[in-house]
Amino acid sequence: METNWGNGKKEQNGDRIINLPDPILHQILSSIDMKCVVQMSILSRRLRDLWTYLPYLNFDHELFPIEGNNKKEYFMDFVDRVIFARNGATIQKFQLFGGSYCDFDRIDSWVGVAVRCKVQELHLNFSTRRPVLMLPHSLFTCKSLTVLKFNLGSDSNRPELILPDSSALTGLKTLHLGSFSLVDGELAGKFFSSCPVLETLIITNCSLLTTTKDLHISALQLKKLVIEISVEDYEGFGHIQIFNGPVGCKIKISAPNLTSFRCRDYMARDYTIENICFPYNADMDLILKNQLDNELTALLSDSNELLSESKEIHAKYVVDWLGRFYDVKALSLSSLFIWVISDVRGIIEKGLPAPFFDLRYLKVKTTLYAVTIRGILYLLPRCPCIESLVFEIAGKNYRLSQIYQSWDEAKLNIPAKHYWESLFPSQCSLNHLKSLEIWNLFGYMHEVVLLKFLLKNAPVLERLTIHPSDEWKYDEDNRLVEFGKELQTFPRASPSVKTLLLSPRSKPRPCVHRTANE
Amino acid sequence: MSMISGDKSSTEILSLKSSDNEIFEVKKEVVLESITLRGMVEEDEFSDTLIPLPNVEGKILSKIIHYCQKHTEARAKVNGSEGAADSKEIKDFDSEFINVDDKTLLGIILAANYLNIKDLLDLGCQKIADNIKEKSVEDVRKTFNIKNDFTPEEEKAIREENLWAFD
Repeated sequence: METNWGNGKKEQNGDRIINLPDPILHQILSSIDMKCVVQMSILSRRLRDLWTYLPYLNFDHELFPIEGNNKKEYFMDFVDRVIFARNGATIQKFQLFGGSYCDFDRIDSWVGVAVRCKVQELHLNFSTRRPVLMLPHSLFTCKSLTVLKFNLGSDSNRPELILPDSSALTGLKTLHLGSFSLVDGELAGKFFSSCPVLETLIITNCSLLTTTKDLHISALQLKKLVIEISVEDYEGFGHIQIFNGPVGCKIKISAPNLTSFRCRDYMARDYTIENICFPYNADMDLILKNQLDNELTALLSDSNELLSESKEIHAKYVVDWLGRFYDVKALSLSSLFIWVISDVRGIIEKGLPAPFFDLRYLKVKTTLYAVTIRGILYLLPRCPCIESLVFEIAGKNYRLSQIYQSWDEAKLNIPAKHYWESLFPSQCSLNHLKSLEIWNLFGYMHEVVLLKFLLKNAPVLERLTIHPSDEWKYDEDNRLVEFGKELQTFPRASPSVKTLLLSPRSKPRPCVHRTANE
Repeated sequence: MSMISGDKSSTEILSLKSSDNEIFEVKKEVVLESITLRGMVEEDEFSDTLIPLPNVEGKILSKIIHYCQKHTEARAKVNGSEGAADSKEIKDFDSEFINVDDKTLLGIILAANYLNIKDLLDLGCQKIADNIKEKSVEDVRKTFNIKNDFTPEEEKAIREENLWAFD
């Protein structure tokens, strides 16, 4: 069958990759390492010189099996050779995974060439022993640059990154910086704010020192912001917990077009999020110092409280954070924050008069203990307009206490049942809740009590989706089917709830499907 | 030129005709996933709502329509709130969808290019790239049926020139 592809030439066998039009062939090769592309030069005329003008350059040291001292020279020479054979042909994307096999000086020279070749996307991943790093100067006047990803990829060494206070990066839309220390927050803030069309700013594994100056990000076009602060700063402090005052520098975000903000940072840091025009999505992973110690202590103690002291200070942190959520339409909270809310809920009432009327979606990522359930129950009535509720059960309850039995084993355990049921108020108005989703359900009695409570209080619920935890894969007695049957018997306020109890295997397979109640 | 009113678009049905004369009835909102077709529909060249696609055979067109349907549905579900579950669902769908033989894969890519469906084109190209990555150069030749159009002397010269790229 004749087809008319490939530079207007009619080919007898149109279904051949080699006859694809240039742009598609380039796109296919755009994620292929240069080593492979150069090797493909022996395959056919069309591919012979392609590597010298393919506008996508990918270099990955892992594809060079040479060992030892030679590898560094070999790898850097390879990159040199490819770059200089191209005679300045345009580069759309330059991606380097150099590991520890690149000298920064050479990287600097490659960046210079890329800039001259009007590079649009630059992804640099490498590690260095240098304590301080200054990004190549040529970068900051590169008007063609739209995406810059600079990842210093090492957990142990986070060099201080020195950014200029301004730039001519008039086209930069996406900026990722990873694994570095920020000393001059003020300068960095000025730099971020000087990129006129910046839409995505992602900062990961960043060390903020106690001496770091305040970071102020003011970006008119910014839509997506991720700030993940490295929380291993305090190695030297061991078990000392510092509750007096905020942690290090303040962070101020002024972004009228913000649609999504993901934050992993100390609860104690002072954030200001202002000038927001539209409700946005917030994914919060707020932690206390010495996080693991806190949780472990609470687990092992009978009181199940997280904070043995300084509740007032933590109450202030909680109130401050909750106060920042009034502009949020979708919120994701993780376990430590829920736990602290629960611990301080008696104190924070005065700080928070208004409910979160803009909040439509709430996701809670936590292990279900009595204390975290109390924290969730504190929040729910304050989110009266919630339409979608998601529980991501973070882990198994390892305590061997009688109250942590699975729902079928615990049928006769009345005291445990009463223990859990007493946590819940007689009612809670979830009048707008349409969708309820539970991830990683184990089948504990307390999960069932929670589920029953929610079903009873959600009069317009349309969808209930349960993803069982992977543990159910070993379910040989078909307990999951039993659970599904039991699920159908739970009383529900909504007349019509489509229930999906998914299989713990890789493909979803509905076990239970209901359209009507009573 | 008649105006197509906005609120009809979710229920309006269009017909697409493949190169081998198979006719597919498709909701308008699904058709609009293709930028090429969007242009045709808005130009209102096809007042009897039948759009001929002489460059796409039925077997491929059927797959493309399935892809567009799934993605239109997923987009409607996620609208507004965070749809983490949905995006996993879509990723699972995409990876199963594109797991096809090379001939179909090429057909999908060419059709996605012609119909200007960016996500599908990206998906297809990435799949071929992934297939290439796993193979040695000789296997690439075999798998993709790449004819060696060099003379033996030319081939020898190129191999020597580019020896530095081979381990």
